[in-house]
Amino acid sequence: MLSNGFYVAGIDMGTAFAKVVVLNGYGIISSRVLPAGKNYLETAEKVMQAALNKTGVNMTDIASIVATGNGAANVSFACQQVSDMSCQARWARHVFPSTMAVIDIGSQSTKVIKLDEQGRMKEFITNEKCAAGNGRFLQVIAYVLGVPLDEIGPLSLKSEKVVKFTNSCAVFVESEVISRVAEQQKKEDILAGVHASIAAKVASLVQRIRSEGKHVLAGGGARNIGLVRSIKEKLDCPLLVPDEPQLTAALGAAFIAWDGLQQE
Amino acid sequence: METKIRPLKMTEKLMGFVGKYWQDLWENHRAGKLVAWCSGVSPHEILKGFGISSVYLEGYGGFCSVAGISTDLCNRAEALGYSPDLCSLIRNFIGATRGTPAPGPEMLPFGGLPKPDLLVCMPYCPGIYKIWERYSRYLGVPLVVIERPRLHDALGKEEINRIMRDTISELQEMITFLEAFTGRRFDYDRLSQSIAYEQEASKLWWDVVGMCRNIPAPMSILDAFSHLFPFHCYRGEPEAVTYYRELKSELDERVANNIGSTIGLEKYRLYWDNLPIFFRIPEHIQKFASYGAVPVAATFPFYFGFPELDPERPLESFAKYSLFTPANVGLQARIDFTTKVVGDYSIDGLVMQRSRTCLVVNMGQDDILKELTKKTGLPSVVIEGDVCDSRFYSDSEVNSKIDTFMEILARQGQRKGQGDDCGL
Repeated sequence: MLSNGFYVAGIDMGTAFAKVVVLNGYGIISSRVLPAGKNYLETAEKVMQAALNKTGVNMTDIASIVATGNGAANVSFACQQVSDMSCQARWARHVFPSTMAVIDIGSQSTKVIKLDEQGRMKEFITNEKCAAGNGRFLQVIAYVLGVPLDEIGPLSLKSEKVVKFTNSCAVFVESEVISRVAEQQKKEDILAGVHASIAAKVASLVQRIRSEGKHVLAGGGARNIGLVRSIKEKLDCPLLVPDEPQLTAALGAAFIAWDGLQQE
Repeated sequence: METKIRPLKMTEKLMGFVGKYWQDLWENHRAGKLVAWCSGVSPHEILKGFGISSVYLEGYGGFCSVAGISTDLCNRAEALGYSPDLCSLIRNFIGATRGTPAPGPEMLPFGGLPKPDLLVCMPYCPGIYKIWERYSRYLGVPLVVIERPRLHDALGKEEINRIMRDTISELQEMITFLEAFTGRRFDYDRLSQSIAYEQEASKLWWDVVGMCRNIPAPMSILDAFSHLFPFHCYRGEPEAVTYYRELKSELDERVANNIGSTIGLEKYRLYWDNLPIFFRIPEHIQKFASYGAVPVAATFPFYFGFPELDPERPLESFAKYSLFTPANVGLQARIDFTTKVVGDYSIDGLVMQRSRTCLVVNMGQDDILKELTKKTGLPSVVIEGDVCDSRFYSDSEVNSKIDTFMEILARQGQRKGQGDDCGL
C-alpha cells in the first residue's frame, strides 16, 4: 500500500489546451491549464513546471505521470499513455460514482462514454470527422461575434429569441452567423442558436449509444453555462456538471497513475 | 515498436500476377480485340464465351486507392462538376477516365483503362447504373444492363423464383445481343468451362477465407482484401484457380505449423465490417498488431465467389450467384450471416468501418451492430473512413479510437490468445 505522501500527475495534451493535475493521497496539490501552442513538447514541460511552481514539489518527487490527449505521445517525461476516454471514465467513477455516461466536449471532438455498473468504460461514440458539435466550433463563432470565449455562455442566457441554423457544418454556420449579424440579429440570440445546434448533435450521440441514467458533462465545453443549459434541455436524463470540467481528463490520468502505483 | 508482420509469399507474387492480366488486356485491345468495362457482379463468364476481355471497374478503384492516387482522381472528377457525396469508387473511375486535368497514363496503375467497346452493368446501387448510362452516351458504345433486384427478407419462394426466371431471361437476351454485336455464335461450352473455373476459384477462395477461423489465423482478413484482386482480374479463368490454389497451399502450411499472421501472441481476434480502407490496409494491420490484435473475419470477402456454381447449368447458377450473394440479401439475412461469421471465427471485438460514400453498404450497418451487440455482447468501435477518398479519413482520429477500443478489450482480458514466437 502506498503512503499518501506520494505524488502522481496526469497531463492532458488537448488540441487547444494543455492541462496538468498533481495529486497525492490527500487530494489535489496543484493544477494548471495553458494554451497548447504549436509545440506540444515545449508546452508539456512548461505546463508541468507551472503546475509545480510554489508547491515545493519537484519533478523528481513525482512517482508516476500518465499522459493523455491528442498530444500525449509528445510528453517525453510520462510513464504511460492512456486514451482520454479511459481517463474521463476513471475520473467519473471516482468523482460521480453513480453516473452512467460521460459527455466530453473537447476542442477537437465530442464524445459520449458509456460506463458499466462498476463505472468502467463500456462503449464510446464520437462525433463524425467534422467540427460540428465541438469546442473549436464555439471558438470560431466567438471570434466572429467579437465576444470573449468566457462570455459567450452568460451572454446566450439573455436570449429571448433563439436563432435557428439550417446547417451543422462549422464553416457554413460561420458564414450564416455573419449573415445574421448583418441582419441585426442580437448576439445573444445567435449564440443561443449555436448552442442549440451543438446540443442537438450531443443529444443525437447520446441516443445513438443508448446511454441511460445520470450523465456527467466534461471537457472545456462544459465551462460554457449557455451550452450546458441547452444540452440539459435536449437530454431526457439528469446531467451533472463538475466545478472544473476542463481538468477532468488530466485528473483521471492522475488517478490512473495512482492506481498503477498501488498495483505495483 | 513495430510488431513484426509475417508477409505471405503470395503477396509478393500478387502484383506480378495482376500486372500480367493488365498487360494482356492492353495487348488484346491494341490487337483490335473487344474490351468490355464491367460493374457489379456482371457476367464476365458470358463475355469470355465471345472472346471479349472484361475489366472490373470497382476493382480498378481498389488498385488506384492502394497506389495512393484515388483522392487525386476523385478531385479531378469533382472538377467536372460531380459531387463529393458521390461514391468514391465512381469518382475515382471518372477521374481516371475523364478527369480534368486528364491524368497521364504514367500516373495511373497499369497505364489506365483501355477504351471499351461495350459496357456491362449488373448494378448493386442506383449510382453505378446512372453513371454507366452517362458513359454509354459519352463513349458512344452500347450498354447492357441486367437488373439485379435485392432479395428482401419478406420475399416468398414464388417471388424469388420469378426473379430467378427474369434474371436468366435477361442473361439470354444479353447473349442474343452479343451474337448480333460481335457477329459470332455464342460458345456455350466455353461458358460452361468458364463457370467451372469460377466455381473452382470460388471454392478455393472461400476455403482461404475460412482458414482464418484457425487460432492463430494464418492471415489477417485485411490481407485477404488485397488477395481479392486476382478474383477481379481473372473471373472465370484458370489463372484464378492457380492463384488461389497456391495461396491456400501457403496458408495450409501455416495452419499445420500453428503459424499466425504476426509474430507473437494473437491476443484478440477482430471482425471487420464493410469494405476495407484500401489506402490504409498495411497501417491498419500494423496498428492492430501492435496490440496483439488481428482482424480475422469480415463478410465482404464472401461477396466474391459462389461455390454452388454449376457448369452443367451455367446461366441458372450464375443467376443464383448474382442474386443470393450476401451483398444482395435483405437486412435480416445480412444480420444472420454476420452473426454466423462472428461466431464461427471466435471474435473478441467488432470494428465497424463506416465508408463515408458507400451508402449501399452503410445502410443497415447500425442495425447489424445493434443486433450483434445484443446477441454477442462484444465491444465495438465505429471508425469513419472511405474506400478511395482519403479526405474522409483522419489518421489521428481513427488511431485514437482504436487505442481506446483496445483499452476496453484489454480490460476484458485476452481470452483466446494463441500464437508463437518463432522467427519469420
